[in-house]
Amino acid sequence: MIQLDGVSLNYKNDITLLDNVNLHIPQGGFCWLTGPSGVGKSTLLRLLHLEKKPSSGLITILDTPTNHARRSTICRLKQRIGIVYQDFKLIPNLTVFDNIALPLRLQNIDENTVQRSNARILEWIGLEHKKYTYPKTLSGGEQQRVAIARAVIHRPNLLLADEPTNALDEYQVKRLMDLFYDLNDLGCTIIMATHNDALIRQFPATRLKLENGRLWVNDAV
Amino acid sequence: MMLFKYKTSDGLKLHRALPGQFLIPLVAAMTFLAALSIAGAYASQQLAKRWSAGAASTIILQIPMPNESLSSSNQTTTLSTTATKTKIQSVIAILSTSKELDSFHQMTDKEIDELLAPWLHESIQSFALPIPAIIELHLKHDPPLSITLEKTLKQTVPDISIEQSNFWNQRLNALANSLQTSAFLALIIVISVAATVIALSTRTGLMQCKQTIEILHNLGASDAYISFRFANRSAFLASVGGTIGSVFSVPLLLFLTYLSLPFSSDPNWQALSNASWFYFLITTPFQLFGLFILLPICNYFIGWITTTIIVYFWLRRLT
Repeated sequence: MIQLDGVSLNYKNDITLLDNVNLHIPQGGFCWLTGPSGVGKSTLLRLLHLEKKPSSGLITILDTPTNHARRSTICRLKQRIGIVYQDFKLIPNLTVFDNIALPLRLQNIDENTVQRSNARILEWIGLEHKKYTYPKTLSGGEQQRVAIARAVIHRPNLLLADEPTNALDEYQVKRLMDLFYDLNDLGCTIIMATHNDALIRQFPATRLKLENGRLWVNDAV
Repeated sequence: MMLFKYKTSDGLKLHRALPGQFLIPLVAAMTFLAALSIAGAYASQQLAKRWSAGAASTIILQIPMPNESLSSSNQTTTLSTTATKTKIQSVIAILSTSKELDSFHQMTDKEIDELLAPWLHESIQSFALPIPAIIELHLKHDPPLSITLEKTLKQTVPDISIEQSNFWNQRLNALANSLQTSAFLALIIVISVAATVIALSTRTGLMQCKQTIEILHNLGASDAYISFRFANRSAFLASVGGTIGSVFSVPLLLFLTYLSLPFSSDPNWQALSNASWFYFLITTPFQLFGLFILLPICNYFIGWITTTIIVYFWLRRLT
């Protein structure tokens, strides 16, 4: 369960990015996060990923109140969250394989499982032949697929995706949505930021609209 | 953590972020200075011990006309049984019962002859001079002699002369203590400089790996994991520097030990200084060799603790 109670976020004390945002998403929910460019969608996702602290208000992630949580609790929570950044944030000096393996290795999963899971996900993203290459040699679409693979390899309880379909073709978008729906069926809560109205119409779900720092919730279209 | 096993797979590339070419020579230089400081502190401690236990704590009694019988007026009630004793016998009787003495020794005629030989060139006996009896007292504690014992001796033999070297003893002890304090202060400064060098190097490394650390942190890497990775690397480099510094300090410290042999408490110092280097090496105090093993270990811990603190503080900026 994800809950925001009166969450506000100010930038440099005078620009209000989020203004008294209230939100409740039950475990296993699927939401689109929409809004004009620069409105703060990525910031909201970073708040939910516990990379930022709100100026005021309470944030509960996966049933854990986070405002006064210990650093070790935050660290364990982050291990249960998958995130796809808009700019991918792959580690440049790690191979595709090692980038994808990071969340599992950080959770102390045994190396055999890491190898097996990695092989499966690499096959799914169609990059098994590039597993020993470095991110800078990949195209934008390939980097995005690696970022998606890294976000889902450990089967997170919460998946945050910031425009994950930007660099993908229609076929890859369809496959990605199938994967997200499969994860959602397994109980994973998914919040996906996008500009793509066609995609939202194609895959109807609860829509969170961020505008002028306020969040509006529309039920499934 | 699993990543500890596959630590080259976390992207931190610490051999680039924390290169050894600057840290190792700096830590080696600091270790060299630390070895000198510790050796200085050890030497001054030994010197102070020697001064306290040796000549400085010796008291000389001179008894003129030692074989003269004591007059009855000089007898104390406690010495009433020694009415027929000579001065020297009475003094020795008092000294034998005293609990504050470690030992005492009456110098023989031969020893007095040896003592005066540079001035007289022949035996004192041939001059028929009235030579006083000389007794060396070694106290259990630091001088001066207790007032009770001094009073008893003076009451028994009024013309006894008591030569106390406590003035010199106090001065020498103060000198030794200040040398020791200076050596420890130097050591603290050296440790602080080494820790500062390690801290600056760690900060530079953190800045270089900033992006990777942020990604790892966001993927759930704990503060302990990231600080462990940095601390491991720093501690390794510091211990390598420590080993090099220790090895370089060995010849100098052995040479200084060799030079300081005449001041040592070893009665065989002349034989030692003429013996082969190998023999000298095996008779060098084991504390000195302990130092060479201890310094790299201390460096390892200084590196580890400093880096861990710096990384933890740096990570506080990340939520």
